[in-house]
Amino acid sequence: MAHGPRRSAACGILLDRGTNPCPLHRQADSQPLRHQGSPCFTIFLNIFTVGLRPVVSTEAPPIIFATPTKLSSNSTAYDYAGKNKVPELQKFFQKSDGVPIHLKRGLPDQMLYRTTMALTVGGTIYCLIALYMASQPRNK
Amino acid sequence: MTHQTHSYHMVNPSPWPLTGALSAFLMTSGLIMWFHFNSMILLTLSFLTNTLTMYQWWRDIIRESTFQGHHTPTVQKGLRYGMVLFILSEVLFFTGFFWAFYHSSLAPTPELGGSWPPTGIHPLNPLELPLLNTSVLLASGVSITWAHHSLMEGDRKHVLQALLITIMLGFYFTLLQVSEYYEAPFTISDGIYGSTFFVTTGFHGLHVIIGSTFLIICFMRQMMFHFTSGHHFGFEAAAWYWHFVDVVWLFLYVSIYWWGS
Repeated sequence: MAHGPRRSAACGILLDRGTNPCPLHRQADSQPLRHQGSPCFTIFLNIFTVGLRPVVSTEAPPIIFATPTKLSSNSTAYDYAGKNKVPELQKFFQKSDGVPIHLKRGLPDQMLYRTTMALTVGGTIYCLIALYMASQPRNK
Repeated sequence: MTHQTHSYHMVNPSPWPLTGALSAFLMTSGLIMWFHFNSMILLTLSFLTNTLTMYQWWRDIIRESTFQGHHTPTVQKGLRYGMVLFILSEVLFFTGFFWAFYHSSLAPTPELGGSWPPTGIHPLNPLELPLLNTSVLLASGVSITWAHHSLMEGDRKHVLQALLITIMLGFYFTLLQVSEYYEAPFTISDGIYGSTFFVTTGFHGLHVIIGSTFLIICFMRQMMFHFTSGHHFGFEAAAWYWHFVDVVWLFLYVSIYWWGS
Protein backbone atom coordinates (compact mmCIF):
# COMPACT_ATOMS: atom_id res chain seq x y z
CA MET A 1 0.00 0.00 0.00
CA ALA A 2 1.33 3.42 -0.88
CA HIS A 3 1.19 6.04 1.83
CA GLY A 4 1.82 9.74 2.10
CA PRO A 5 4.89 10.98 3.97
CA ARG A 6 4.71 11.54 7.70
CA ARG A 7 6.38 14.63 9.02
CA SER A 8 5.40 14.60 12.67
CA ALA A 9 4.11 12.30 15.33
CA ALA A 10 1.04 14.49 15.93
CA CYS A 11 -1.70 13.47 13.56
CA GLY A 12 -5.33 14.08 12.69
CA ILE A 13 -8.00 11.94 14.24
CA LEU A 14 -9.13 10.51 10.96
CA LEU A 15 -6.39 10.60 8.42
CA ASP A 16 -2.85 10.02 7.44
CA ARG A 17 -0.36 12.18 9.24
CA GLY A 18 0.70 15.04 7.00
CA THR A 19 2.13 18.50 7.14
CA ASN A 20 -1.29 19.91 7.88
CA PRO A 21 -0.90 22.47 10.68
CA CYS A 22 -4.55 21.89 11.59
CA PRO A 23 -4.52 18.13 11.98
CA LEU A 24 -8.20 17.89 12.79
CA HIS A 25 -9.17 19.00 9.29
CA ARG A 26 -8.99 16.85 6.25
CA GLN A 27 -6.78 17.77 3.32
CA ALA A 28 -7.78 16.38 -0.03
CA ASP A 29 -4.23 16.29 -1.34
CA SER A 30 -2.81 14.29 1.56
CA GLN A 31 -4.13 11.10 -0.02
CA PRO A 32 -2.46 9.31 -2.92
CA LEU A 33 -4.54 9.47 -6.10
CA ARG A 34 -5.49 5.81 -5.88
CA HIS A 35 -7.61 6.46 -2.79
CA GLN A 36 -9.52 9.43 -4.08
CA GLY A 37 -12.25 7.43 -5.77
CA SER A 38 -14.42 7.10 -2.69
CA PRO A 39 -13.93 9.67 0.07
CA CYS A 40 -16.26 7.98 2.56
CA PHE A 41 -14.60 4.64 2.13
CA THR A 42 -11.21 6.31 2.34
CA ILE A 43 -12.05 8.00 5.64
CA PHE A 44 -13.46 4.74 7.00
CA LEU A 45 -10.37 2.82 5.94
CA ASN A 46 -8.09 5.48 7.32
CA ILE A 47 -9.64 5.49 10.79
CA PHE A 48 -8.77 1.87 11.24
CA THR A 49 -5.40 1.71 9.55
CA VAL A 50 -3.86 4.90 10.84
CA GLY A 51 -1.61 3.00 13.20
CA LEU A 52 -0.47 0.51 10.56
CA ARG A 53 1.11 2.76 7.98
CA PRO A 54 4.82 2.10 7.62
CA VAL A 55 7.15 5.00 8.15
CA VAL A 56 8.32 6.01 4.67
CA SER A 57 9.74 9.47 5.16
CA THR A 58 13.30 10.00 6.29
CA GLU A 59 11.96 12.54 8.74
CA ALA A 60 9.94 9.90 10.56
CA PRO A 61 9.94 10.37 14.32
CA PRO A 62 11.77 7.81 16.45
CA ILE A 63 9.63 5.27 18.28
CA ILE A 64 9.26 6.72 21.73
CA PHE A 65 8.80 4.37 24.65
CA ALA A 66 6.45 6.47 26.66
CA THR A 67 9.04 7.87 28.99
CA PRO A 68 9.61 11.60 28.79
CA THR A 69 12.70 12.21 26.71
CA LYS A 70 13.27 15.66 28.16
CA LEU A 71 13.58 14.23 31.63
CA SER A 72 15.60 11.20 30.64
CA SER A 73 18.46 12.35 32.86
CA ASN A 74 16.14 12.81 35.83
CA SER A 75 15.32 9.39 37.19
CA THR A 76 13.26 10.48 40.18
CA ALA A 77 10.41 12.32 38.43
CA TYR A 78 8.32 9.19 37.76
CA ASP A 79 8.96 7.15 40.87
CA TYR A 80 5.25 6.83 41.49
CA ALA A 81 4.97 4.57 38.46
CA GLY A 82 7.92 2.35 39.23
CA LYS A 83 10.64 1.67 36.73
CA ASN A 84 10.11 0.23 33.28
CA LYS A 85 10.19 -3.52 33.65
CA VAL A 86 9.28 -4.29 30.03
CA PRO A 87 12.82 -5.06 28.77
CA GLU A 88 13.46 -7.62 31.50
CA LEU A 89 10.01 -9.13 31.01
CA GLN A 90 10.77 -9.36 27.29
CA LYS A 91 13.96 -11.26 28.04
CA PHE A 92 12.12 -13.51 30.47
CA PHE A 93 9.26 -14.43 28.18
CA GLN A 94 11.51 -14.96 25.19
CA LYS A 95 13.49 -17.74 26.85
CA SER A 96 13.20 -20.73 24.54
CA ASP A 97 12.37 -23.38 27.11
CA GLY A 98 9.43 -24.88 25.21
CA VAL A 99 6.93 -23.89 27.90
CA PRO A 100 3.64 -22.61 26.42
CA ILE A 101 2.78 -18.98 27.05
CA HIS A 102 0.03 -19.67 29.55
CA LEU A 103 2.46 -21.48 31.87
CA LYS A 104 5.61 -19.51 31.21
CA ARG A 105 5.76 -17.87 34.62
CA GLY A 106 5.88 -21.23 36.37
CA LEU A 107 4.06 -21.89 39.62
CA PRO A 108 1.57 -18.98 39.76
CA ASP A 109 0.48 -19.74 36.17
CA GLN A 110 0.10 -23.43 36.95
CA MET A 111 -1.99 -22.78 40.06
CA LEU A 112 -4.33 -20.45 38.21
CA TYR A 113 -4.60 -22.84 35.24
CA ARG A 114 -5.39 -25.81 37.45
CA THR A 115 -7.94 -23.84 39.45
CA THR A 116 -9.68 -22.64 36.29
CA MET A 117 -9.71 -26.10 34.72
CA ALA A 118 -10.94 -27.75 37.93
CA LEU A 119 -13.76 -25.24 38.35
CA THR A 120 -14.82 -25.42 34.70
CA VAL A 121 -14.66 -29.20 34.24
CA GLY A 122 -16.02 -29.87 37.73
CA GLY A 123 -18.76 -27.35 37.14
CA THR A 124 -19.65 -29.00 33.82
CA ILE A 125 -19.96 -32.41 35.46
CA TYR A 126 -22.12 -30.90 38.23
CA CYS A 127 -24.18 -29.16 35.57
CA LEU A 128 -24.76 -32.37 33.59
CA ILE A 129 -25.88 -34.17 36.76
CA ALA A 130 -28.16 -31.28 37.70
CA LEU A 131 -29.68 -31.21 34.21
CA TYR A 132 -30.18 -34.98 34.28
CA MET A 133 -31.96 -34.71 37.62
CA ALA A 134 -34.02 -31.77 36.44
CA SER A 135 -35.16 -33.76 33.43
CA GLN A 136 -36.59 -36.56 35.63
CA PRO A 137 -40.37 -36.19 35.97
CA ARG A 138 -41.52 -35.43 39.50
CA ASN A 139 -44.26 -37.81 40.56
CA LYS A 140 -46.76 -36.16 42.87
CA MET B 1 16.63 -23.69 15.15
CA THR B 2 13.67 -23.37 12.76
CA HIS B 3 12.30 -19.95 11.83
CA GLN B 4 8.98 -19.14 10.23
CA THR B 5 9.18 -17.42 6.84
CA HIS B 6 5.87 -15.56 7.21
CA SER B 7 4.70 -12.73 9.45
CA TYR B 8 1.71 -14.45 11.05
CA HIS B 9 1.51 -15.55 14.66
CA MET B 10 1.39 -19.31 15.25
CA VAL B 11 -0.11 -19.35 18.74
CA ASN B 12 0.93 -21.86 21.42
CA PRO B 13 -1.77 -24.43 22.25
CA SER B 14 -4.06 -22.79 24.79
CA PRO B 15 -6.74 -24.11 27.15
CA TRP B 16 -8.72 -20.86 27.28
CA PRO B 17 -11.09 -21.44 24.35
CA LEU B 18 -12.18 -24.66 26.07
CA THR B 19 -12.63 -23.09 29.51
CA GLY B 20 -14.41 -20.15 27.89
CA ALA B 21 -16.82 -22.41 26.04
CA LEU B 22 -17.48 -24.47 29.16
CA SER B 23 -18.08 -21.33 31.22
CA ALA B 24 -20.64 -20.22 28.60
CA PHE B 25 -22.34 -23.60 29.00
CA LEU B 26 -22.33 -23.14 32.77
CA MET B 27 -23.77 -19.64 32.33
CA THR B 28 -26.74 -20.75 30.23
CA SER B 29 -27.44 -23.76 32.43
CA GLY B 30 -26.94 -21.56 35.49
CA LEU B 31 -29.63 -19.21 34.23
CA ILE B 32 -32.00 -22.17 33.89
CA MET B 33 -31.20 -23.33 37.43
CA TRP B 34 -31.78 -19.81 38.74
CA PHE B 35 -35.02 -19.19 36.87
CA HIS B 36 -36.62 -22.57 37.50
CA PHE B 37 -35.03 -24.02 40.60
CA ASN B 38 -33.99 -20.94 42.60
CA SER B 39 -30.33 -22.04 42.74
CA MET B 40 -27.48 -19.63 42.00
CA ILE B 41 -24.51 -21.98 42.40
CA LEU B 42 -24.00 -22.71 38.72
CA LEU B 43 -24.53 -19.10 37.70
CA THR B 44 -21.99 -17.82 40.23
CA LEU B 45 -19.54 -20.51 39.15
CA SER B 46 -20.01 -19.51 35.53
CA PHE B 47 -19.20 -15.84 36.24
CA LEU B 48 -16.10 -16.92 38.13
CA THR B 49 -14.81 -19.25 35.41
CA ASN B 50 -15.67 -16.69 32.73
CA THR B 51 -13.66 -14.01 34.52
CA LEU B 52 -10.73 -16.39 35.06
CA THR B 53 -10.75 -17.31 31.36
CA MET B 54 -10.88 -13.68 30.21
CA TYR B 55 -8.10 -12.65 32.60
CA GLN B 56 -5.74 -15.43 31.54
CA TRP B 57 -6.55 -15.24 27.83
CA TRP B 58 -5.90 -11.50 27.61
CA ARG B 59 -2.88 -11.79 29.94
CA ASP B 60 -1.44 -14.30 27.44
CA ILE B 61 -2.12 -11.93 24.53
CA ILE B 62 -0.19 -9.18 26.33
CA ARG B 63 2.66 -11.64 26.93
CA GLU B 64 2.67 -12.68 23.26
CA SER B 65 2.65 -9.09 22.00
CA THR B 66 4.42 -6.75 24.40
CA PHE B 67 6.89 -9.31 25.76
CA GLN B 68 7.42 -11.72 22.86
CA GLY B 69 6.92 -9.33 19.92
CA HIS B 70 4.57 -11.54 17.91
CA HIS B 71 2.26 -8.70 16.85
CA THR B 72 3.75 -7.80 13.50
CA PRO B 73 1.92 -5.29 11.29
CA THR B 74 0.25 -8.25 9.56
CA VAL B 75 -1.02 -9.58 12.87
CA GLN B 76 -2.12 -6.12 13.95
CA LYS B 77 -4.09 -5.72 10.73
CA GLY B 78 -5.99 -8.90 11.55
CA LEU B 79 -6.70 -7.61 15.05
CA ARG B 80 -8.02 -4.37 13.57
CA TYR B 81 -10.36 -6.28 11.27
CA GLY B 82 -11.45 -8.34 14.25
CA MET B 83 -12.25 -5.35 16.44
CA VAL B 84 -14.13 -3.62 13.62
CA LEU B 85 -16.23 -6.71 12.99
CA PHE B 86 -16.91 -7.14 16.69
CA ILE B 87 -18.09 -3.55 17.07
CA LEU B 88 -20.20 -4.02 13.93
CA SER B 89 -21.86 -7.04 15.55
CA GLU B 90 -22.60 -4.90 18.61
CA VAL B 91 -24.14 -2.25 16.39
CA LEU B 92 -26.46 -4.92 14.98
CA PHE B 93 -27.25 -6.06 18.53
CA PHE B 94 -28.43 -2.58 19.47
CA THR B 95 -30.24 -2.20 16.14
CA GLY B 96 -32.59 -4.94 17.30
CA PHE B 97 -33.60 -3.03 20.41
CA PHE B 98 -34.01 0.22 18.54
CA TRP B 99 -36.17 -1.65 16.01
CA ALA B 100 -38.36 -2.88 18.85
CA PHE B 101 -38.65 0.66 20.21
CA TYR B 102 -39.63 2.21 16.90
CA HIS B 103 -41.98 -0.68 16.06
CA SER B 104 -43.99 0.05 19.21
CA SER B 105 -43.66 3.82 19.33
CA LEU B 106 -44.35 4.75 15.70
CA ALA B 107 -47.77 3.02 15.76
CA PRO B 108 -48.92 2.86 19.40
CA THR B 109 -51.73 0.36 19.94
CA PRO B 110 -55.15 1.19 21.43
CA GLU B 111 -54.09 -0.70 24.56
CA LEU B 112 -51.49 2.02 25.14
CA GLY B 113 -54.04 4.76 24.63
CA GLY B 114 -53.05 5.25 21.01
CA SER B 115 -50.24 7.59 22.03
CA TRP B 116 -46.53 7.58 22.73
CA PRO B 117 -45.58 7.88 25.54
CA PRO B 118 -48.45 5.56 26.53
CA THR B 119 -51.23 6.95 28.70
CA GLY B 120 -50.18 7.07 32.31
CA ILE B 121 -46.44 7.02 31.62
CA HIS B 122 -44.54 10.13 32.73
CA PRO B 123 -41.26 10.06 30.81
CA LEU B 124 -38.06 11.59 32.14
CA ASN B 125 -37.34 15.17 31.17
CA PRO B 126 -34.72 14.98 28.41
CA LEU B 127 -33.33 18.38 29.37
CA GLU B 128 -32.44 17.32 32.90
CA LEU B 129 -30.22 14.34 33.85
CA PRO B 130 -30.18 12.74 30.37
CA LEU B 131 -28.71 15.95 28.92
CA LEU B 132 -26.01 15.98 31.59
CA ASN B 133 -25.26 12.34 30.73
CA THR B 134 -24.90 13.32 27.08
CA SER B 135 -22.40 16.05 27.92
CA VAL B 136 -20.47 13.68 30.19
CA LEU B 137 -20.03 11.10 27.43
CA LEU B 138 -19.19 13.70 24.80
CA ALA B 139 -16.55 15.16 27.12
CA SER B 140 -15.13 11.69 27.66
CA GLY B 141 -14.83 11.33 23.89
CA VAL B 142 -12.75 14.49 23.83
CA SER B 143 -10.52 13.37 26.71
CA ILE B 144 -9.81 9.98 25.17
CA THR B 145 -8.80 11.69 21.93
CA TRP B 146 -6.47 13.90 23.96
CA ALA B 147 -5.04 10.75 25.55
CA HIS B 148 -4.43 9.20 22.12
CA HIS B 149 -2.67 12.25 20.76
CA SER B 150 -0.52 12.46 23.88
CA LEU B 151 0.37 8.80 23.42
CA MET B 152 1.39 9.34 19.82
CA GLU B 153 3.57 12.25 20.92
CA GLY B 154 5.23 10.26 23.70
CA ASP B 155 3.80 12.51 26.41
CA ARG B 156 3.46 9.95 29.19
CA LYS B 157 2.13 12.21 31.92
CA HIS B 158 -0.74 13.51 29.81
CA VAL B 159 -1.73 10.06 28.59
CA LEU B 160 -2.25 9.03 32.19
CA GLN B 161 -4.09 12.25 33.06
CA ALA B 162 -6.41 12.13 30.06
CA LEU B 163 -7.14 8.42 30.49
CA LEU B 164 -7.95 9.01 34.14
CA ILE B 165 -10.36 11.80 33.23
CA THR B 166 -12.04 9.55 30.66
CA ILE B 167 -12.43 6.74 33.20
CA MET B 168 -13.81 9.11 35.84
CA LEU B 169 -16.32 10.54 33.38
CA GLY B 170 -17.38 6.98 32.57
CA PHE B 171 -17.94 6.25 36.27
CA TYR B 172 -19.81 9.53 36.67
CA PHE B 173 -22.13 8.54 33.81
CA THR B 174 -22.77 5.14 35.40
CA LEU B 175 -23.49 6.71 38.78
CA LEU B 176 -25.92 9.20 37.25
CA GLN B 177 -27.71 6.43 35.37
CA VAL B 178 -28.03 4.31 38.51
CA SER B 179 -29.60 7.24 40.35
CA GLU B 180 -31.90 7.83 37.36
CA TYR B 181 -32.99 4.18 37.51
CA TYR B 182 -33.89 4.58 41.20
CA GLU B 183 -35.75 7.83 40.68
CA ALA B 184 -37.67 6.90 37.52
CA PRO B 185 -41.45 6.99 38.01
CA PHE B 186 -41.89 3.90 35.78
CA THR B 187 -40.41 0.38 35.90
CA ILE B 188 -39.43 -2.32 33.43
CA SER B 189 -42.82 -3.97 33.90
CA ASP B 190 -44.73 -0.87 32.83
CA GLY B 191 -45.72 -2.23 29.46
CA ILE B 192 -43.76 -1.92 26.28
CA TYR B 193 -42.52 1.56 27.25
CA GLY B 194 -40.79 0.22 30.35
CA SER B 195 -39.44 -2.82 28.52
CA THR B 196 -37.90 -0.90 25.63
CA PHE B 197 -36.57 1.82 27.91
CA PHE B 198 -34.86 -0.32 30.51
CA VAL B 199 -33.61 -3.11 28.22
CA THR B 200 -32.00 -0.68 25.76
CA THR B 201 -30.56 1.71 28.36
CA GLY B 202 -29.62 -1.27 30.52
CA PHE B 203 -27.57 -2.94 27.80
CA HIS B 204 -26.01 0.42 27.02
CA GLY B 205 -25.04 0.82 30.67
CA LEU B 206 -23.48 -2.65 30.63
CA HIS B 207 -21.40 -1.61 27.64
CA VAL B 208 -20.29 1.55 29.46
CA ILE B 209 -19.08 -0.66 32.31
CA ILE B 210 -17.28 -2.97 29.88
CA GLY B 211 -15.72 0.02 28.11
CA SER B 212 -14.63 1.55 31.41
CA THR B 213 -13.00 -1.74 32.40
CA PHE B 214 -11.13 -1.83 29.09
CA LEU B 215 -9.93 1.74 29.70
CA ILE B 216 -8.76 0.85 33.21
CA ILE B 217 -6.70 -2.01 31.76
CA CYS B 218 -5.19 0.45 29.26
CA PHE B 219 -4.40 2.82 32.12
CA MET B 220 -2.61 0.07 34.02
CA ARG B 221 -0.69 -0.97 30.91
CA GLN B 222 0.33 2.63 30.27
CA MET B 223 1.59 2.83 33.87
CA MET B 224 3.67 -0.27 33.15
CA PHE B 225 5.20 1.18 29.98
CA HIS B 226 3.54 -1.32 27.64
CA PHE B 227 2.50 1.17 24.95
CA THR B 228 4.88 2.88 22.54
CA SER B 229 4.14 5.97 20.50
CA GLY B 230 3.93 3.88 17.33
CA HIS B 231 2.36 0.65 18.56
CA HIS B 232 -0.57 0.72 20.96
CA PHE B 233 -3.40 -1.18 19.34
CA GLY B 234 -4.90 -2.19 22.69
CA PHE B 235 -5.44 1.47 23.43
CA GLU B 236 -6.88 2.15 19.98
CA ALA B 237 -9.31 -0.75 20.33
CA ALA B 238 -10.45 0.63 23.71
CA ALA B 239 -10.88 4.08 22.18
CA TRP B 240 -12.92 2.74 19.27
CA TYR B 241 -15.15 0.82 21.70
CA TRP B 242 -15.59 3.91 23.85
CA HIS B 243 -16.61 6.04 20.87
CA PHE B 244 -19.08 3.32 19.87
CA VAL B 245 -20.61 3.45 23.38
CA ASP B 246 -20.87 7.23 23.07
CA VAL B 247 -22.58 7.02 19.67
CA VAL B 248 -25.11 4.46 20.94
CA TRP B 249 -25.95 6.85 23.78
CA LEU B 250 -26.52 9.68 21.29
CA PHE B 251 -28.98 7.48 19.37
CA LEU B 252 -30.59 6.50 22.69
CA TYR B 253 -30.92 10.09 23.80
CA VAL B 254 -32.40 11.34 20.54
CA SER B 255 -34.76 8.39 20.03
CA ILE B 256 -35.94 7.28 23.46
CA TYR B 257 -35.39 10.25 25.73
CA TRP B 258 -36.10 13.11 23.35
CA TRP B 259 -38.35 11.98 20.48
CA GLY B 260 -40.01 9.40 22.71
CA SER B 261 -41.11 11.89 25.36
